[in-house]
Amino acid sequence: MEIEAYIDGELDLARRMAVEDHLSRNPDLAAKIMADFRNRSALQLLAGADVTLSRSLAGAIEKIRKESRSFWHRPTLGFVAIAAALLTSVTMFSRDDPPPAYINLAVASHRTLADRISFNVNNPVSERTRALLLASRIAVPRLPSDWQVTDVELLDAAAEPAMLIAVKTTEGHYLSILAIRKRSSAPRDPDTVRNGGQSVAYWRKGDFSYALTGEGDPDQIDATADALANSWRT
Amino acid sequence: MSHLKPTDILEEMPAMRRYARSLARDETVADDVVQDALLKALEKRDTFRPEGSAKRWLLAIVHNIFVSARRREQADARRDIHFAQTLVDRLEPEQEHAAYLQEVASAFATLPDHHRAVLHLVAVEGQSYQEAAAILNVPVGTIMSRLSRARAALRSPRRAADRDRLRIIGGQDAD
Repeated sequence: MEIEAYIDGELDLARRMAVEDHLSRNPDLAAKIMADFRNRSALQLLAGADVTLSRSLAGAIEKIRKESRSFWHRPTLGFVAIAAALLTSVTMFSRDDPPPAYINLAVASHRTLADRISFNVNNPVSERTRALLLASRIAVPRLPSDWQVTDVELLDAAAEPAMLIAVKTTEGHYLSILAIRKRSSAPRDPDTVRNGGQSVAYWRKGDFSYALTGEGDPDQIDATADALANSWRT
Repeated sequence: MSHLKPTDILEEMPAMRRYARSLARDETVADDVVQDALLKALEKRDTFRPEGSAKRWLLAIVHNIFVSARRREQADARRDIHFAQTLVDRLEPEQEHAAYLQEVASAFATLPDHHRAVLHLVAVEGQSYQEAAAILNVPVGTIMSRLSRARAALRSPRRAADRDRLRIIGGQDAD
């Protein structure tokens, strides 16, 4: 049963490692598990191929689209609809300016990281971290001492030098900090937006722009970002 | 005031169709199920609780509509082996491991309904055990034991496919 839970990513880190330790000593069992992973990939491949819509289904979709268009114009909703629109659209805490474009990079990197975190045991990276930080000459906020840095990466996808730092907070939340050498439109004091399931706080200090991304609610990310942004002003 | 917008429903439609196909093993029946599920979701969206997952809520609707007796009958009238073939037909012809995928498709198609449903939700849709249990309305322990059996059946797909061929020869005709 523990093996099933391992395959489906249901185990916490400590139990994952116990299973992996066991598998590393039992090649036959490990091969069986890999075969299960392979079968899962096969099922995903088989399920993923596109299927043309049947006519009746296309009709239902059209009906929903229509409903969605009328949703914003429903007179009875009035003020409530406007309030809901404000809540569900992108911005929750920001000012009038739209958030800078680099937060998309922050969210995308965070999601990639999150996928990997659920899949792999993290290695301590302290030596490598220090080397990368020094080499990049990207200024990084001072992190609380009880946070654990789980990964540091230079992002070559970005136009400007950028670094992604993955941390595990004292409470066990996974956050990522994107530091990018760029004078963006981000404000000095962090603003926070919600993007899909994640909240992103963004701010700028001199020639560097930052984004803090996490699964938490915007309030919480905003407060954490405030603390990080202030950690320098000493 | 619903927290689920019509566009949120449409966003999950690919997942609803994938799940319906795995349940019904027939694309026409699957799309009929999804059609009903979409309209039901639209009608009932005020009952959606904002703290829950839209995907889970919608997959549960798909499931409930499918298990109504009429749907099941329709689906059973068609051949599961035919379903396996349609899964494979949709892949790119130069797809590597085509023979292996064919085996997996056959084994998956011949799983008992409740095993196939669980395996699809967890392995394809990435639902957690808790979420799958909520969709199927069974205890988490049941999810785990069904998964374990479904995986065991898929581990020896060749044998499952042979069994299926024998069953066809045994006289169930297609449609």
